[in-house]
Parts: sequence; C-alpha cells; structure tokens
Amino acid sequence: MNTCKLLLTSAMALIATQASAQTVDVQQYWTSASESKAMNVIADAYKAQGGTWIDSPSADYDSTIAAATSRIVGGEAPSAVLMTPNGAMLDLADAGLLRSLNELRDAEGWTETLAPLILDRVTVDGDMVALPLGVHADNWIWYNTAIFEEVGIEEPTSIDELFAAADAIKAAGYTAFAVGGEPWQEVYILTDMILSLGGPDYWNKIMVERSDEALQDPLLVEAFELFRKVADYTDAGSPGRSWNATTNMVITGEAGMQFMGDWAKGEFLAAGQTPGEEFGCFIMPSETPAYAAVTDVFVFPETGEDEQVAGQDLLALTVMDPEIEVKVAAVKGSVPARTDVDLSGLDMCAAKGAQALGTPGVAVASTYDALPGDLNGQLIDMATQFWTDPDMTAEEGAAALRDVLAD
Amino acid sequence: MTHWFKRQMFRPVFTVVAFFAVIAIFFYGSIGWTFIMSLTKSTLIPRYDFVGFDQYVELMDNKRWIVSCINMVVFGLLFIIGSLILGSILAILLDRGIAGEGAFRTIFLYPLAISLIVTGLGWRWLLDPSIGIQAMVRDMGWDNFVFDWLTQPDRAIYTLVIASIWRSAGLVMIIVLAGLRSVDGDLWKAIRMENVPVWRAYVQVIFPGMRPVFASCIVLLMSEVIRGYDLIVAMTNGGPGISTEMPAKFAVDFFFARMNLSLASAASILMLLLSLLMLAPYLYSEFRRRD
Repeated sequence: MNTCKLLLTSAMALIATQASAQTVDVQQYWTSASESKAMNVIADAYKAQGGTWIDSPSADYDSTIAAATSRIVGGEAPSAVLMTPNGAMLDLADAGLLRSLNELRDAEGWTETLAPLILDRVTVDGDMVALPLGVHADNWIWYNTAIFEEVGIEEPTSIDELFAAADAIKAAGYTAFAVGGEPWQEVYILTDMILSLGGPDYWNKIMVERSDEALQDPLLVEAFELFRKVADYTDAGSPGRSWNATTNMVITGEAGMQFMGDWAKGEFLAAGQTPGEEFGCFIMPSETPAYAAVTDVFVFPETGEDEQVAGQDLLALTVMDPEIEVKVAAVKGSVPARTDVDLSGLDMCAAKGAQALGTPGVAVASTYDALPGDLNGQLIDMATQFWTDPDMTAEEGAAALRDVLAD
Repeated sequence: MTHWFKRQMFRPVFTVVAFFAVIAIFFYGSIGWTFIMSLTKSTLIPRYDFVGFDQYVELMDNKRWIVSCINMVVFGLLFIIGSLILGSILAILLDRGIAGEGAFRTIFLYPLAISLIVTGLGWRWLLDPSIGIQAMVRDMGWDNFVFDWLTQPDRAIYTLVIASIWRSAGLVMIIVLAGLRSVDGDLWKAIRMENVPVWRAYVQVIFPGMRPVFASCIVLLMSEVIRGYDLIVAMTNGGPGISTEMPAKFAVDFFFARMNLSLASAASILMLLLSLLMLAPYLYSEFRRRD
C-alpha cells in the first residue's frame, strides 16, 4: 500500500516538473499523411519555443467534436480543438465555452492581416473565438491535362464552355465528369452551379441571409437543371464511390474532370503528379468570380488553468506566424488565411486560391461554414435525393431547397 | 459456521441489488435522459430549454426518417422470413442424415463469425456492377447481363436483405437443427407408419411442435433488424441517395455528425417504442401461455 502511494506521489511530482509553464492539450483529426505533416509543422514550432504539446488525436471530424464536447461538458476541456467555423462552433461560443481572443487580436493587429471573410467567420458577437490555420475551397474542378490536350480543349471560362468541354471528352470515349456516390460529394455540384450562376452576392443572400425573396429566383431552377445535366456525363460505377477513388479516375486518365474541393490535390501529389503537368485545376467558371471557402480553425475552450492559458497564448502566436501559415498551407494544400504572407512558395493551384481569397468580394463562406445547425446536413440530404431520383424535376428541386433554407 | 452461513445469505441479495442499481442507472437512467433531451432544443451541447414534442413533429416531417422507418419494415419482414425459410431448409437437409454433416454445418455457420463490416464490404464488391457479379458474367460472354441492384435506389434495399440472409441463415439452421434433434423418435415412427410424405411431416407435424424454437429465432433476428447499422454503413452507407437509410443510422448520424442532439434523441425514443411494438406479439403469446 505504502509503495503504491510512494509511486503515485513520485509520478505526480514527475509530471509537475515535466510540465513547463505553457501546456496545450490539442484535440485534432489531422491524421492523414499530408494533414499530420501540417500539424507537425505547428507542433514543432510550438515545442521549439518551449511549450509542452499533448496530442489528442481522433479518427475524424465527427469524433473530434464528440470527444471535445464530452470533455468540455465534463470539466476536462482540451486547451485547443481543431474544427471548422460552423454551427458547432456557434453553439460552443453561444454557451460561453470558448475563450475570446480579442486581446491577442488587437495586440497583434490581426484585423488588418486576415482576409475579411475569414475574420468574419471566426468572430461571434464581436468576439474572436477561433484562429484560422488555413483555407480550402469547395468549388474547384480538377482535370487530366493529357485528356484536355488529346481532345484539344483549354480550361473553360464559362459554364457553356465547361459543358462543351465535357461533350468533347465524352465524344473521345472518356468519362467527362468523375462523380462519386457520397451525398456530400453530390451537393458540391449543385452548390457550384448556384454560386457560378448567382455570384457571391446572390450566394450570400440565400446561404447567409437566407432571404425568401432570393430563394424564389428562377436562377435556382436553372442550377438544378445543370446539376441534373452533369449526370449525363458520369459513368455507371458512380453510386457509392468514395471521393478519392473518384479522384483516382482523373489521375489514371479514365475521366476528364472532377468537381471537388482542393483537398483533392493531395491525391494527385501522392500519386507523384505535379500541378500544371499531369493535372490542372481551375475554380468553377462563372460570370462574377467566386470562391467558396472552408476554413480550418483552432478554438480555445475556457480551461481556467493558468498553465493552459499561457499555452493557448503561445499556440495562438505560433499558428498566426506568417511563416508557419505558409508552411502549413504548402504541406496541406490549403491557402494561408493571412493576406500579408509571401506566396512565392505555393504551387499554381494554391496561388490561384490565394489570389481569389485576397481579392475583395470574391470569397464567400461555403455551405459547410455558412449554414447554422444541421441545415447543411438537410441540404446534403435534399441534394442527394434529387441526384438519385431522376423523376424529380428542377422546379421540385428548387422548391425543396427553399424548404430547407427558408426560416 | 453460522457466521459463514449468514454471509452466504447476504451475498445473493447484495449481488442482485448491485446488479439492479447498475441497470437502473446506466440503462433506465440513460433512457430517461434521452427522453428528456428529446423534449429540448439541444444541438451540440445539452440544453434544458424545453419545447415539448416539437422534435417528434419535426421527425414525422423529415423525409429521411420516414424512409428509414419504411426501410426497416421492408428489410425486417423480408430478412426474417427469408432467414427462417432458408435456415429451416438447410436444417432439414442436414437432419436427413447427409454425408459430412459436420463440414456443412461449419460452412453454413461461418458467415456468422465474420464481422458485419467485412460482410458488407465483401457483398458490396460482389454486387458492384463494374467489378462484381455483373462484370464477371459479362466477361463470360453474356454482354447484356444486368445485375446492378446495389446502384438502383429502388432495389438497393434488397441487396441488404440478401447479405443479411446469407449471414444469419446459418444461425437459424443451427437452432432449428437442435430443435429437430430433440423431436421424439416415436413421432417419426408414427409418421413413417402413416406413410406421410416427408415435406408434409415437417410442415404439418414437426414444425408446429417447435413454436418456441422459431419464436427464439424471430426475436434474435428482430434485434438484428433494429440494431441494423454496421452492414448498411459498409455496404451502401444509406445510399444511393437516402434509399437504404435505417433508423439506427439516422440516430447515430444526427447525434454525432449533424450535432442535433434533440432530434437524434427523439429518433432513439421512437426506435425504442418501435422495438417494443415489434416484440409485443411475442411477449403477449408467451405470457398468455403461462396463465
């Protein structure tokens, strides 16, 4: 019994001496090859400055949020949680569980250096509650350059040209659009069409303000017609196919193009391909340029322990360091959230994205970030119903969308 | 001696009390908490702002939930009936004194030992039109052969039935076989003397006497239906579209991916009621017989 006690006390003493003044316990889900490299960039820089980093990885986004919520509610809050600025973050912020970073923001002048959209996304009721690690976007199209050359087409600059390109690819015997069968993949095609037809202003009206008037616009019917039209260019193996198996069709030259967020780039790179050589990328063509951003952020739950607060401060400065922002972006395939960083190290796709993010009025929040509660989930359910039910008309689709988004 | 004896008297009581306390807290307590949550507007974090039965109303308005419930009924009926028929036929064949009974018994029971995720993935590959059975038959020369149920929204649910029957028929077989083995030898002698055809003997004499055996099978299979989650996730993940969604998957998705605690709780409570409803006929007949 006594030895037990002794062991316990010495173990505790050991922990106490090991823990320096700055400790963070990071609940995160960046576990794939490129993601964990990106997280290590942050962790290494943080540790280099003398901080103690406790890694609490989960398998995916959902389990991270579930674990973090349980820990917060149970009084054992992690000091940092990786998430996106969506409904879950609003919930946590509204419940007063997240630390406000206003002091750091003002001291470091982040209001000036962050892209306006991103600053808006991480601010809830005037409080900055999250730190952007990098920005991805939904509305990219990835293509196989060899197929484009073979059929003699350039990167399309309008929706008409996009479908003309698809016709040419189809005529040459390839699958024009590689489409996977998971509901979240299908919804991107619809939102790409809406954003392309309506531009950023209209997008904000229906996704952020969710105005009834804007939701009546016949433009939505047209978007659903285009969404349906894409089905003519897919292959029979589409239902149920995962997104990376679908990307692989473009990599191997089975299919010409894929609608997918820029995380798809990781698959091309992992296959040993180079942007601009074997594969190319362009943002969904539209009249008014638009970029549907998804942001990765850290939120800092209130922990009430000085050591962890000091750790959070150090982590915040590390994450927002321009050099670290660029390094993370380069490894993960994202775009830095700061607009004042040196972009020369980014590849051509990331450079296109950074340019779009930096141009005023182009970037909008993707549905994932913009829609509160489980509205994004309802939108996905609705889109996949439309996609898999050929009898549903575009008018019915637009009406169903209105039902989901109207308050 | 008396001291030891007293201790033995105390133990069962203590064990039972501890057992019931655990059940009361973790089982009925959780059910109670889920019910309370279903009456609130909680999303990610539990909040106690009560809105009455709003979540249930919303659930009834949710197409995905309705589709899930219909799927459970269709899948449940076909799966239970199919497993019982196939399992019984296998049991009869083994009972007729087939050579190598032990080997066959093991082969038919094996699917049950495979995890549902593996079962689902295996069947998914088999039924995938571009790489599975359809592709194989086409390679053999029948170019127009079509078997793409997995990718058809109105057929995909039947592929789940096929995979589930494949997995559970062996279980039914082993239970029915045990029942058949306990049939009195005299009964068979009488059947032989009366010169009753074998199939009539099973359908009209042997099986009616084995009602409790089939009731056990049905209860076992029903719990598979209500819990149905892993197989769907591995095989179709609810798709194409929402055509193969099930209530358990609905609840899990809304708890953990959609962060809608209250709606998921309402769904869970309805699932509990549904399962009680499905078990009611069985419980009723059991109690009635005892009276």
